[in-house]
Amino acid sequence: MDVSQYLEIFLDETDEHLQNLNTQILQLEQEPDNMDTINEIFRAAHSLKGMAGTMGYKRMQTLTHDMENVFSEVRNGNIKVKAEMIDVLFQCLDALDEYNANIRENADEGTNDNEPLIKQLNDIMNDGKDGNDDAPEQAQTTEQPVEESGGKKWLNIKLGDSERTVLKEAVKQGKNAYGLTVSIQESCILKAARAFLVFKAIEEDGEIIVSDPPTQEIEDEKFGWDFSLLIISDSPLEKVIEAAKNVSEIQDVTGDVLDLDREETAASVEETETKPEEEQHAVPSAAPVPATPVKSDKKAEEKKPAANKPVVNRTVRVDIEKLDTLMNLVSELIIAKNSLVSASTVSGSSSTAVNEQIEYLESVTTSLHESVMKVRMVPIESTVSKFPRMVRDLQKKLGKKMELYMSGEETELDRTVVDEIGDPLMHLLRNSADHGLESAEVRKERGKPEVGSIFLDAYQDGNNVVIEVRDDGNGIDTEAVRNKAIERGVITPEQAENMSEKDSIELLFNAGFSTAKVVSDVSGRGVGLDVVKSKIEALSGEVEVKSKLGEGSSWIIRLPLTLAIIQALMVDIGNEKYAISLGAIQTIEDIPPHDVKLVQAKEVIQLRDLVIPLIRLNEILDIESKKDPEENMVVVIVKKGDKLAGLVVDELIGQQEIVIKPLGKYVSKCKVISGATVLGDGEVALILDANTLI
Amino acid sequence: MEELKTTGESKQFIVIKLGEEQYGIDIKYIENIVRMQHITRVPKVDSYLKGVINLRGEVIPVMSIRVKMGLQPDKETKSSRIIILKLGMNGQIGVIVDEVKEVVTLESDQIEKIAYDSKEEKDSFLYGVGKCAGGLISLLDLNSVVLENL
Repeated sequence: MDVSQYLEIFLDETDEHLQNLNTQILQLEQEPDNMDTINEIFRAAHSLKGMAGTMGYKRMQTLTHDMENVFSEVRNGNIKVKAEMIDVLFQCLDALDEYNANIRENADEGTNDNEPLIKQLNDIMNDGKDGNDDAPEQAQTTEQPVEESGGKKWLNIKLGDSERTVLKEAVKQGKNAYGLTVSIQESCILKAARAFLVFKAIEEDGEIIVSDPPTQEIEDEKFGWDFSLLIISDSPLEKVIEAAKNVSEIQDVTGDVLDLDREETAASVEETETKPEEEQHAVPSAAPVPATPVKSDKKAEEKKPAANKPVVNRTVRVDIEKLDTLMNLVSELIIAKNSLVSASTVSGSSSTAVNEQIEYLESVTTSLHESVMKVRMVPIESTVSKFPRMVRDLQKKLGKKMELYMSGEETELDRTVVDEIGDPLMHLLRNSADHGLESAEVRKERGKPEVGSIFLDAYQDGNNVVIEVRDDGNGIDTEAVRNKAIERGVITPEQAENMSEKDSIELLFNAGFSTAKVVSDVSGRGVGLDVVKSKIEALSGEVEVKSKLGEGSSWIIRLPLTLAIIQALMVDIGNEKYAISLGAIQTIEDIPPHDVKLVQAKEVIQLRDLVIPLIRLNEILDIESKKDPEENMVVVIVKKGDKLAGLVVDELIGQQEIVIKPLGKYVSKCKVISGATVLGDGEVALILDANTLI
Repeated sequence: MEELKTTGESKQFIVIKLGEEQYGIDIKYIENIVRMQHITRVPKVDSYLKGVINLRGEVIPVMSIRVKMGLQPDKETKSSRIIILKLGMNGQIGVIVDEVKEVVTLESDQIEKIAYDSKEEKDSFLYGVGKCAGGLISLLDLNSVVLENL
């Protein structure tokens, strides 16, 4: 079987399962008796094993198989969760991760058999209980709590009013109502596809009224090795069963004529029990009778807590390149729309009808852009969820006590940004753990709780997403930083004397700088923070550091929500048009020339108790200002972190949605320009980078 | 004659004019030839980089060969054109020329390689001289004209 086309999906799903396992095992360490967690772990391990087997990765399969065995013993209460066991399990996950990386690299899992690990797993098994080889099979059966009704699971299907009516009606019309339970061979790989074929075979001369689990879940392969159906059909029972059995890899089909009266009593009894079935979702779209919405809604609510199945997400995996193409097309559309807007104003023939349509077009393109952006957005959870495990490992390695608190994992960012932000965050967390937090003894002396806390908070702030890494450790010793910088020749002692706290902290981002006196395995090779900074700046973001000696430090990362299309203010400087990102702009002020003061030979203005340095853009951009120097100046106040600056422009043109185009390598020397955009009239305007101006 | 063209080492060049002199640009690097249009100036870059233009939604830098080679600055006329080149992985770049004349095919024996003389700065932008009916054509070494800026 050629499985190469599934490789991408396999890798993605394996990543997900591994991540899930990491999280769950971490939780298991905290609550060794949590049955939900154990079940979840078992399921993930089981899926992994199945997938690896299907793809022909034998080593991966063997390892997961043994892990699964351990979990199943834990689940059956034969083994207690112990610290050594958790360690071994984490090592197993690392080994699996390695297999996965190998597969990603060259479609081969590699040759590491990980025998020591497998042996350790088996030891755990034997310690807990002597030889129990058919553990997975046993586990399989316990997974299906309705087993007691034997092959006739369809008896457990509970009927809603509408379904009952349909069935009764059908019987009245001389049709037959049957209940069926179809079991699929356990070796089957695509059970959803088999189930679909069974559905199709039955629907050839009948109609499926109810299925358990619901059709949606069957399509998503969210069922065990069997499913039950209630159907109406003209054909005799044997024929229906025969039709279903003809589908390959179907192990058995049991069925009987449905006794509607008996069902009714059974159902009324069960009504009070609220079993985790969701038959009202199961009405196939072909069913002619509309469901009674009020009643089923109430039922659904009742059942929710009982139904311990994961919420079914209807998702499609899309290649990010396709999304890029879509985004580019939307960009083109916005440019075309802008052209239309400027054409209609220039031609002067702007009738109300045309204007209305243009406004409509404008709102459509804006929402289109928003939706495409949303499609590209993923929660940062996928990146940050590996951190608790990392901190746990750090704790052991560094011999410090620490706890990681995370919030805002659901905050969404552009997929490309989420993929890139992992490494910088990891550096910062390691940095906090290694340099920030003190050892337990020192903490005790200082009257702090022995266990250090590291916080990772993410939240949206206007057009930015802020990710904050905070710790309650020692903070940054700016004195030590300065001394180190002098030692390294980064600054001279004279410079050091005049340095503000803030500038001293900035030194940390210098390449080849590390304050840790001992180079440790965790951090302190001096490659961390400058990499962090450049990576974040490459994503058009910025890093800010706040620190209080003795109380801790926090690293604040700000990232733009979107990279491709922004709202910008268009300004005129010496008859050239420039764009300034609206996100950076604080206010726009009208300043009389005599309000400009000089401080240390630099022009500043005073604005509501704040002294703000002025930047004359015409000077920076080497262009003559076309404005009379006696006139009031237009000053755009921009913000970077908590620094402000006033940009002097000739005139404001207006706000516009612009598409950012790269300038290319040839003109990359110009640092104050972050990109270009094509205006409605086809002209190119440059985008000013407020960050580098300040 | 036809056979010779296909089997021999023939190359096609677009003949352009800068002032009175004719230059040849290897056709395989040429993506497009567009009329002169508004060039948006980019501040703080080398003087031969004239700015950027919009070519069907893409922003493309434009440079002046004249300034780069130390000739008189460009004078925009009706016959001025921007030739869009693509060299390797560095994306597109436009060069301003006074006039685009024709396409010529030169056999290898019609091309005389210039012995590289580092003393004469201007000559280093050429890699040879082509001889054909229309006279002599200086063949531009695009790598030194364009890529050296990077």
